[in-house]
Amino acid sequence: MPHLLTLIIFLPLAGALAIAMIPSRQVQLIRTTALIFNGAVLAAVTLVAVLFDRTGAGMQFMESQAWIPQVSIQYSVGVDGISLALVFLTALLGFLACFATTMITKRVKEYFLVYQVLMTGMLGTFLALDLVVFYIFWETVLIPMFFLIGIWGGARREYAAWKFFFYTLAGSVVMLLAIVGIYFAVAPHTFNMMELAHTAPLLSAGLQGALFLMFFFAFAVKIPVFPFHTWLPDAHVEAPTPVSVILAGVLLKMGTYGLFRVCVPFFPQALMTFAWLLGVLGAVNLIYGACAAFAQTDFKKMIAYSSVSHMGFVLLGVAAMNSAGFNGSILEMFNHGIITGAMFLLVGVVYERAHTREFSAFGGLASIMPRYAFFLTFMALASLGLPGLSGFVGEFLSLAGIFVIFPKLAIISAVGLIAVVILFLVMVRKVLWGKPRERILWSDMNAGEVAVLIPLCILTLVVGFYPDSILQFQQQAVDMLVKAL
Amino acid sequence: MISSIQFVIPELILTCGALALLMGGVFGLRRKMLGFMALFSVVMGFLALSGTPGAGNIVFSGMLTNDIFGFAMRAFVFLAAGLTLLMSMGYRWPDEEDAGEYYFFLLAATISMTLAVSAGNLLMIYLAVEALSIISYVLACYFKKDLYSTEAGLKYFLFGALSTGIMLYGISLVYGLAGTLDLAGIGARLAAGGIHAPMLALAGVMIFAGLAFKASLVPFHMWVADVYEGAPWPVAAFFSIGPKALGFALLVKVFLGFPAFVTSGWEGIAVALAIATMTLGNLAAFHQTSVKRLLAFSSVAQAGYMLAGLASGVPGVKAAFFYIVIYAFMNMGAFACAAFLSSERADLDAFKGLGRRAPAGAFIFSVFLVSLAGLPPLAGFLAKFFVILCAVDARQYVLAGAVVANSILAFFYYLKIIKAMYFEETSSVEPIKVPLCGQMVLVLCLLAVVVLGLWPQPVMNILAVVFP
Repeated sequence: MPHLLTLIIFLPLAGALAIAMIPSRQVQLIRTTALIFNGAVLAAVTLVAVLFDRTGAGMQFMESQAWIPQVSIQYSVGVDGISLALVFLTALLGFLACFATTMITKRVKEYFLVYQVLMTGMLGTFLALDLVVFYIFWETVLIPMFFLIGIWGGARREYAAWKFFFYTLAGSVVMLLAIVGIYFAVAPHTFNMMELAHTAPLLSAGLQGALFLMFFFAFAVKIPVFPFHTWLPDAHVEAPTPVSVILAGVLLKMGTYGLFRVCVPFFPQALMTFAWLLGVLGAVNLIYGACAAFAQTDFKKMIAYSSVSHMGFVLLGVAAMNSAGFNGSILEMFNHGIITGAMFLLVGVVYERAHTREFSAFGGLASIMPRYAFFLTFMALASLGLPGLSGFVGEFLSLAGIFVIFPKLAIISAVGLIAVVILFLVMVRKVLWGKPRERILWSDMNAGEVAVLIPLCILTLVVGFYPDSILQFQQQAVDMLVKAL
Repeated sequence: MISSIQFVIPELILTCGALALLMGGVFGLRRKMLGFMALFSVVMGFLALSGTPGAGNIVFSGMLTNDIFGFAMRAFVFLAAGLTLLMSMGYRWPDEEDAGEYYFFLLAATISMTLAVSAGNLLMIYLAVEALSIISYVLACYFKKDLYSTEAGLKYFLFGALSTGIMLYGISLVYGLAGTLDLAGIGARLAAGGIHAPMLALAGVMIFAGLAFKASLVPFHMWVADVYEGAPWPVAAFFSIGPKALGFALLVKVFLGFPAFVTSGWEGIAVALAIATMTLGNLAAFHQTSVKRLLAFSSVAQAGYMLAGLASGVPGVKAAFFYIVIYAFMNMGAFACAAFLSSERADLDAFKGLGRRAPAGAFIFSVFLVSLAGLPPLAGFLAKFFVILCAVDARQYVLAGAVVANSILAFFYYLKIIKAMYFEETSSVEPIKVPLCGQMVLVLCLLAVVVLGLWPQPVMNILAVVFP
């Protein structure tokens, strides 16, 4: 399969074209078409994972084609151990979120059109090997997300859409400047990420530091790192459930992926200098996110802030600059996508029944919605890092990694972890336990809702008991990254 | 080598077409028929143009030169005229206005622009620019009974008369200093040295003022919003691409053609004006509620990005003209969409719910707006990207930063239109139909914006020949 990755990137776009042909009245056909195309993407990505050579550290399935030779821009894509897990995550969540899109009843055709464009943008970001192509896909995500939040969101959707748009835009234009800067800084001038991994580390420390900070700012907004995180609660809360799943599950990972694809390999010297900053920001994210989540009365907002908290682990892993930290960090990205994706789906389940997300409206759901209680408890335990479930592995590795170089930070973070545990246990108590409020006659989760959550639960369990199922793909790539430092 | 008469065959064809249109109008030919006649003569003129590729010789005793830059710019002018004609043919004109006159003036403006870009003499530049200006005043107040339109014509006239007057004064100073108005002669005289430098700089600034007026650079942009607002949509669209590109072409001809002008602080002035133009344009567009005024200020800001290219050395000139070509398509597209989907002087509220009433039109409009804002993968992104690339290469870091900062600012108001079309609902669900000629111009511009965004090679190859 010579053009497998290109196929993966542009299949969703082909789906958009197909949907554009269907009259907007045929809602069911539109849904099915979107599902078929996203299913095909998932199948193709699975094929890539099966064919993937786990003993190779470099890029695989590479495709390269001169695009604008005057400034040496290439259409270049490839996948390695770091991107594979995220591509799989994108395809899986993209498919499941598409399947779970039952609550969208207005302007269905437009919804799936922009959704498909969003898929192409996300997949392209994770697969691009040329900085300009990377930037183009990165920016392609913006407009569809603006529409998805702004048209199909909740009450404050417009505010949330603008805020999301301008935070990310501010970050990405700084990245554009950094891309132009790195192009002229290295000799020979290039945008090729493979070459830059060799030539950029030779730059002077000052230049590395400046470029590192510019790229880091762009990624920090997306991750989001405190204090650039304020767009996240608004966007996540106002977005419709499937879009929240994509936002938390995939979009945040674009930022952390950028750290691994750009900041770590290109600027090792700057990374050494600023590792403490990443570590501190990671610890702040972890603790601040948990505390802020604790204060929320809105179920969805609480989950949104807990994402901020989890992203702290990813930052800590990067700051560790060793094999354990990097492995933990990348695994945490994958796990967070699965677990928080499931969490947002679960919030969506009660929201559709209660039409509110206030904790005060819930309570005692365990007695009337037993299936729901099972899934929510399961995911909450995974989220707080119960050993045996996937969340634990990534968090443990990250903390173990950071302990080697910043033991004090590791201790602070480990204490902060307690806040996360309390947070999720209290959430479970508020929603599930206690006496049900009067006149609640909500039905338990239906077959469709259960079907979406089952694969996520299985993955959580498998990765929790056998972390090597994911780690074996990324091990070689991480080793190479650490060796280059 | 071609003779003088051979050289102006395209212009002669246009002249015949223009005269025929004037007569046709008198004899009561229908508006549609006149439109086809105008389009036909532009197409024939364009075909004839291919017979006069720039061989480098001078014609009409040095008044015009047959060089490759002029050749490319003439082709561009024909393109702009063709797009404007298509848009005019699709536009819903009020019945009482005379169509023959309109198309006559449009062709006459085209002729004066092609003469200006191939001029080899400052006097010729002045004459052609003045001819274009006078025609533009008439076009701006084409709605004779409309107060806004009359105001537009008058304002344009007052500003225009002043700025061309200043330019003429500058030209006279150059004549006094160099003893000739022939561009090549001035170049030789400047190279020989010994010219009073402050006076030369003064002359340079005065000529710059005249050309900056056409290119709508700050601080010579005051007329833009009022004139665009009063002028009919197709005329505003024409002003925003034709005369603007002409201003830049002449800036290149006069200023970058002569190293002596360049040494007198040209780059510093250009950088300052570029930053001022894009920033003020964007800030002014910010609070507009009238879509036409908003697009007018957006076109001022866009001129700032083009000037940013000119301020960044020889590769920057290429980037600036790449920008101008892309801009012509996306701005024409945006103006055409606004014209077909709303009315003269419609405000943002008129765009509410258009995503429902005209799905295709609203989508295409959004594409143009997003491209104007510079979001990938559309051509507007590449254009801006090349400008930034050249600015950084020329070590103009502040300029590059200003372009980037401004593109954030610009998103606010471009998205405001998109938001009105898609986020907000109206009670009216009556679909809006775009006439066939209008559809053609939209599809042409859309194809250009999308295809050139993914495959910019054709334009880049041409520019590589024009600016070796």
